[in-house]
Amino acid sequence: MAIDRREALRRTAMIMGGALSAPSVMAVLNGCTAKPELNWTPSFFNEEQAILIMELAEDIIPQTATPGAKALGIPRFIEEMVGARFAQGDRDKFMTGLAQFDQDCLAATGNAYLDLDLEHRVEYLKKLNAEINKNIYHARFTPNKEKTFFWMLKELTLTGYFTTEVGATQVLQHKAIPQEYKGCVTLYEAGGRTWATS
Amino acid sequence: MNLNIKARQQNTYDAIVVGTGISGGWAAKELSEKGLKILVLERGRMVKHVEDYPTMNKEPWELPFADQVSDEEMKDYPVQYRTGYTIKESTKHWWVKDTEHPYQETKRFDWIRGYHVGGRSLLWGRQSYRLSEMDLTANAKEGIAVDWPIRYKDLEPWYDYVEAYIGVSGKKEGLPQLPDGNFQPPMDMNCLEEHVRDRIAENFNDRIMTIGRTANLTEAKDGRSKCHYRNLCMRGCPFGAYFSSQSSTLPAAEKTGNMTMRANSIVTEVIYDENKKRATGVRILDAETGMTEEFYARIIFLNASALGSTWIMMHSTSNRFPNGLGNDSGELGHNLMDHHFRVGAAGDYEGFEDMYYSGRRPNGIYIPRFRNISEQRSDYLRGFGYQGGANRDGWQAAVAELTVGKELKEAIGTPGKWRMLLLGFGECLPYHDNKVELVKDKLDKHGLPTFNIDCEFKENELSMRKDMKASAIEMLEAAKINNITPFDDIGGPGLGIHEMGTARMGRDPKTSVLNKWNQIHTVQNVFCTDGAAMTSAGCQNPSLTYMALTARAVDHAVDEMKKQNL
Repeated sequence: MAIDRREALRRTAMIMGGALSAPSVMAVLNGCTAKPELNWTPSFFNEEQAILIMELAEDIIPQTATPGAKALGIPRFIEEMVGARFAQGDRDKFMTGLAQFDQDCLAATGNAYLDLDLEHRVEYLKKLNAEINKNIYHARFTPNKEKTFFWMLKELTLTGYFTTEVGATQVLQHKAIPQEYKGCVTLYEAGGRTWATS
Repeated sequence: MNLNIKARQQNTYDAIVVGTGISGGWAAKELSEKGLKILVLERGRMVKHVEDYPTMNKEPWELPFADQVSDEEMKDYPVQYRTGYTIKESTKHWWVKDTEHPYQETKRFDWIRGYHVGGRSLLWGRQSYRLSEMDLTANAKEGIAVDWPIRYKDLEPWYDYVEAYIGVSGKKEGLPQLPDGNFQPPMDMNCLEEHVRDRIAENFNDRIMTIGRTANLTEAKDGRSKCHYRNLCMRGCPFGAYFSSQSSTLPAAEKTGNMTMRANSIVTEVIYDENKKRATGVRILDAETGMTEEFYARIIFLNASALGSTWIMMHSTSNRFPNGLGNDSGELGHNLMDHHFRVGAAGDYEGFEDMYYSGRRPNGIYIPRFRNISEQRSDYLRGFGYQGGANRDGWQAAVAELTVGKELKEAIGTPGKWRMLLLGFGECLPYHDNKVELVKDKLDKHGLPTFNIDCEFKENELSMRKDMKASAIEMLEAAKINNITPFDDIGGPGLGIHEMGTARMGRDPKTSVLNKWNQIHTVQNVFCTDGAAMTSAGCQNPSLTYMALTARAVDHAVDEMKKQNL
């Protein structure tokens, strides 16, 4: 019998008659959660931020038959991009979004993100994903300052992931030296998968 | 005294070539192959073929930060970055730091450039199109600016000649407005491009779509390999498969044993002898040591890029030429042109889901000019062509298009939507008030005057853009493309990286700087065969024309030297 965390929280809150604030309830629930372990030592994010980024990246591109974002060091890539490559304005925006993330998640789901189970995490992320501009021509030219935090995060995660060797060659396909160009062949003849670079 | 004579002899050549880019490389090749001892001067650093292309073989995962340059470092490239594609970890070493090479802009002008041996021949888009008789007669016919002093028949054999040497792949189409060339086999179109080509052919009787004519080899040639379809040209090609000075003209010049190359040599002026009424050489500033030195020659070829050569002429003043070498007309620095682009439309296509392509083609499609050919429109003069192409979405599109989690990962392995892009490139008229001026109180790090650039696109270009957008939409609609999204983001002139016209050719010394052989009218042993020479812009990518003009001018120069006329 699977009671998901949100349901558990709702029930608990009901039982307690709403006497406990939501964070306290969470603290209670957190007691039985193993804290995710970082697989790198963050230098720009603090530990709490790093853990949240790591979990989010892995939820955006999870481990399946091929490695997920976490195993490929994408959370660290995100930290480096935000900490060392971003313009100050974009960095501030990202960090503000990150700080706000759990509050928003709590308001929307009744739980902090890390306290959600995978199914509800993905459900929540899909909701955030829907806020990304679906017009690809506009999306491509949208500056960071007009993007939501999740949009920035997803872009960083995908950029990091699909420029790794594993992402480029196991999930997508890549040929360093194609040698020839065939303009119009079947997908099967072309190798069957999306090319990593164009 | 004897020492001075000896030093002067040591620094004396038959010819001096200033610049090593597309036209300088050609001048070096042609002059040295005709037996002249030449000195080739390059203001930037040495770049050796292959060994100095540090990122040419880097895979995406071997480049830090997904190839993105840090915001801090980007502060060195505020202009160079305006293209959006030039400053990356894999290519940043090819572009000048704007912080080191400043200029002033009365209005936005994007001067995108690289200072090193090979210049922008390493970085160019490689699209290679001939000007036509229509382009070369347009000024005269319309009473715009001045007439070109040459016609297509003057250029035709030289187009044949340079195409045969550099290798241009493309397809003959028999169009008077875009003469066919001496082509290697064309590259393939992909499925959607073929579809759009066929629908355009069915629906319009005034236009065609062809594969881009590009200086990428489709057959091996003179020790250069054919294209390996990596589409990493801008990093430098280990196969020498696209035309650059390094892959093509400089090795030919080197082989003659007649070339001396001196990098880090900023030519600050052409030395003019008022008694002999000719140039005797050039003065350089060594960019590394700060020392000046003079070199002497019977003829001088200025191939320092349109604005580079113009700067040298403007900075070469004498009693005879107080306003710059050969500038009796007052036209030096004026009539600055570029192509205007970044206007067109794109959309997606339902179909060909089980079709794809293999290899990364460093080339797109081309729709040659179809406006103002047999009938003149009332809203603008001249015309435009389109570049572009089709592709299927890759992972980048997944940010907006796909969901998250396992579903994303499963979906992303299947190529995304087919998309077709048409990007217009339009002619800009030569306007006298689009100009560059030397600013003598704003100096660069070498203490040399900098440019102020005052240039804008005007009504003719802006009217043309409306048609460029509308015609793109019309063709995509005819090809049943969906979700057509038009765009028009003109940016600054200069963004086309086709700056030209600031020392134009003409028939009359009173209204032009160069004659029909690219000689300065009044200093005939100085030639300029880069973009500065252009009397009008056409809408075609111009580099091939610079090559043809250069080979033609060298042929004339050496003939005249033999006849003791130079």
